Amino acid sequence: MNCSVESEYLEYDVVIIGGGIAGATVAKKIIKEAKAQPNRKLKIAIVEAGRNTGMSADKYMSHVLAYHKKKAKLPNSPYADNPNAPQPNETDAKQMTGKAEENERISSRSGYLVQRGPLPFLSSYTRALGGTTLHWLGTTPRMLPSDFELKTRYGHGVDWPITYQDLKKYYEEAEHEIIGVSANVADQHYPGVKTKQQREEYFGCNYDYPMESVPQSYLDTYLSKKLHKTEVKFSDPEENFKIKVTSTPAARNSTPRGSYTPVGAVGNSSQGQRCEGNSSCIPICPVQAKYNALKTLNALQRDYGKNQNKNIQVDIITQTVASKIYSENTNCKNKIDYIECKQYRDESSGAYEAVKLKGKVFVLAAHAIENAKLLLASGVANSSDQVGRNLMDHPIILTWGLLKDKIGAYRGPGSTSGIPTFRDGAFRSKHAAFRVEIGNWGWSFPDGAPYSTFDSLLQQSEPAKNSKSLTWGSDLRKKLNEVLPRQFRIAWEFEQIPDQNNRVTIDEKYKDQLGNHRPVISYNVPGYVKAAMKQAREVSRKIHKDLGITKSVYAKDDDQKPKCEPAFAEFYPGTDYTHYAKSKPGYVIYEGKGYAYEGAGHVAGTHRMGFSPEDSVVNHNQQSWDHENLFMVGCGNMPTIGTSNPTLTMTALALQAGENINKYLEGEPLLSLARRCSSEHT
Amino acid sequence: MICQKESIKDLNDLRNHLQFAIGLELATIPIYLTGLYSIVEGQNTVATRIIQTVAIEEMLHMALAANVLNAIGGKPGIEPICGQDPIIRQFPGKLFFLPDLGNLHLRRFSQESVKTFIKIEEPHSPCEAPDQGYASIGEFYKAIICGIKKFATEDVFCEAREKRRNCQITSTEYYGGAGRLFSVTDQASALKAIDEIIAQGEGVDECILKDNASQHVCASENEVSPPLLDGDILADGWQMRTHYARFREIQHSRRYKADQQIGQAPKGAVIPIDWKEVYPMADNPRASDYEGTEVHSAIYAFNQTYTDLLNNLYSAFNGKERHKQEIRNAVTIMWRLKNQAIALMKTPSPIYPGKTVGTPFEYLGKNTV
Repeated sequence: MNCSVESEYLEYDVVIIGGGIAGATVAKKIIKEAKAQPNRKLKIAIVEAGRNTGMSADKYMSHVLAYHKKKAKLPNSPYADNPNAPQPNETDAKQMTGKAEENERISSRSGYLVQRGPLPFLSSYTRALGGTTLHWLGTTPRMLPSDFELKTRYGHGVDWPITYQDLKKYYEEAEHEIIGVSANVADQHYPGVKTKQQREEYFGCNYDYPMESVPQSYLDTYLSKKLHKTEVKFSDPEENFKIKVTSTPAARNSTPRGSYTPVGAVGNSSQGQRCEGNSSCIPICPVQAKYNALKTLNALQRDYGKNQNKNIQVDIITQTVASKIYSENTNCKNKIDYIECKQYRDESSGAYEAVKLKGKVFVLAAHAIENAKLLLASGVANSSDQVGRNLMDHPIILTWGLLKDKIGAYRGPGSTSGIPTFRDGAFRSKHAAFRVEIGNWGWSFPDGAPYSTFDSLLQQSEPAKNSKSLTWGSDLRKKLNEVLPRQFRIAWEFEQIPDQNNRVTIDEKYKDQLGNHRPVISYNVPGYVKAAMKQAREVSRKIHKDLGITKSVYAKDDDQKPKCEPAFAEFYPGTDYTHYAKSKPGYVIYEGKGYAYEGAGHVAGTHRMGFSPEDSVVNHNQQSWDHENLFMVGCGNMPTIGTSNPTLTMTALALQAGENINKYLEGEPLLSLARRCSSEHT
Repeated sequence: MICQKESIKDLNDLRNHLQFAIGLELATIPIYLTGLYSIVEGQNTVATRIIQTVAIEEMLHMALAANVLNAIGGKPGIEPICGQDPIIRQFPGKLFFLPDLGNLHLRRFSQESVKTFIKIEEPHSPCEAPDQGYASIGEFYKAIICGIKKFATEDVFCEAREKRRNCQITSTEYYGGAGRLFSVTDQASALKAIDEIIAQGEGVDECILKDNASQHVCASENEVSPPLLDGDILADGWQMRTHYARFREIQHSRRYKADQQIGQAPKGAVIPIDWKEVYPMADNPRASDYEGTEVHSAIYAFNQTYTDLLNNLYSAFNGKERHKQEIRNAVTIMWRLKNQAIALMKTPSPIYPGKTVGTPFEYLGKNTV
């Protein structure tokens, strides 16, 4: 008689930690590769720390309603905080003091991230099934070829061990099969991708995106007209630029090309087949015309869920937080053995059951900060001492003003165009490159408008209650209609370079309710970026001038008070309202001038890919140098961040990782890419 | 007993039938949208989805009917034909060719209005021909199928291909519901278009798929139960039910199981419905009722938007130069209509205490400003 003992472990072929876009992509790609062989058996677990709160039409709608009810429309507003899988919020950040211990003490009391400074890390992410794609804007440009060779070309940062050409086919796959990107190749103009030959190298000869470009906003076309003659001059080194307003590739559904079918909402696939212009991409697309990872996960569950009884099975296990990775040394090979997780039923207490997951391959896809934290807590994969280091983001500065004409602010997706002109140039030897994002939602990002505009118009009337200038009722509506449609802002997103001291660490003092570590962050913004802020502010003044914004409310951007009191509240068209208050958490001074940066949510670099086990955590196959059965995915793998929003690149890398993982499972050699020599390592 | 399918006399009569087909599909949309927009936002989510997909599929039917009419050289228009309006200009109103449906009303989401929805989509063909017109929408379309087979010869399509070549609304312009929009270029695609309309409404009837439609017999004679599924499968694997079945699901607050017969009461998952989470709009609102009141301008503005939408759609069906842009502009107007509709659903009626104003859907004419 057989006496079966329930195993201590849940056993899988592949254990993926993290139910966001990177984890979903890896699972989908491994299955796609594995299906090439008939009768191949494969069992995959996707383990998510947060809850599964959006994976049906009704559940998702509960997030939409939560968003409607929240007063502050922050990126995580629709997604409830969960003490067992806490997440950072933009409002957590405090201005830092000069002392790391003091900063630690202050920041550890509010929010999730413990911050040591010298500057605060201002980005958030989401810990729920679907991950941060639940609240992303959905901007999906590719990186530029030069972004992969920053060190060789400009002497900053590092080179990637792979080239743009290595990644190109995965970009295409990400655009067509994972995300669904809307853009027209013919409309895309980037520095270094101009001549016929360059364009063919970059896009391929007959390539186009799966869906037509989302229509540009009225603002975009207005700027195109007003700025078509605008030229900008950089002095060091001397370089001239022409402003080219360019439609931005987006992860939102539009008119399909050829046989492509746009993927609609989870549980209601006829909805969200086109972007409807609901104008709330961040924090939530109510119809799911914007991609989120729930779409990919839902398809995996539908096709390979437990009850399908297929050779290939995918288990999505939520409310299960990976807390420690165990390795073993067998046959001279150092491999990961199992991952211990804490599974909770209810987030009101820290009660949990320990669950051990065994696999042939392990994939960490839990976010750049969470991945690093888990590796550090487990003491694995860190022979390079690079785990947690090189933390990067795109620091953003905003510039805003009131245009002379009404340009229909607050309509359409958050952004439909940008100015890619400054994404590359000789100036990168001196200061950071930057992407220019044109915002369609007035002053919402810099100022909390339209609510703040309403408040200030109302307040403006308060002291004047007894005078003739009351602003109430239809007068107030008229006034709002004069101001809001003229609001205009640009976000300048800078390429941050890797720095060993910008890092995620852990400290036994700081743990969450389940006893897992909270990330302890040290962060700074380098002079390389600050110099670019100065340059960007100059470009913004030139652009403002050509748009007829000739006056400014503040004599200096960081002045406490406007030049004259009424100007601020009166909202004069043709005026620059840019203001970097000294009290902002991201306030910095460069060459005597103040700026305030914001986070972009583009968290990268914490387990970077490199040329050798000494300089990096993973190799060019996204495989740990230390443990052959451990693969890392997510923006943490990126050696440098370039100027593109990183999700598309992360997805392309995850596809490459998925292909490698299948090869590894099959005992085949991994991809051998045309690895080039880095100037650092020759 | 004679079925009416061979009632179309000539090509011109076929074109007239298709004019009325476009108007018939259009007529159902205000009825469904009124039910849809009367539901408090975020409530009755399954019912909302059902009504919304049906309304959007009626828009598909309207475009398919227009494509067929264009393909046989007709010009989709709003003008009366032989003294009869192809569209309903004001509710309550009757549909020419389908007098048995009686007066069609604009009513909020309620058990009563769902009964009307079911009646509209009723597949039953009683074989007792009414004195005039057709017994059901299905019968009406079956007559069109016969008419196409008989009068829409290859020559007809060939001639129209030249003259009306910019008038087809193409597949990329349809989304939001199941089914597919396609260009109609010949008899086969014309029949396919009409089949799609019938299938989504009341299911695929084996009879109409037979080669020789003149041998078609009525459902009641051979006891074929109308189907539950319409043959569309969504990207997420959901098998779409016919409109008739979808509304029966709302009526019974339950889904059908995929293997059930339509005649049975649905036995699948419960659909939670709260009939109280509905704005209490007064039936069949009209702008004229509100003249002199403070809400009149808002009601009039809604009618103006509806009018703009119809004028824009019919103009798109007639293939103006910026044809594709025109149909896309129509989508923008649909959003304006939705926003105005929801506002009117919430606006208290100054003449009916305890009720709200609701959506009038009155067409104001071709050249209104």
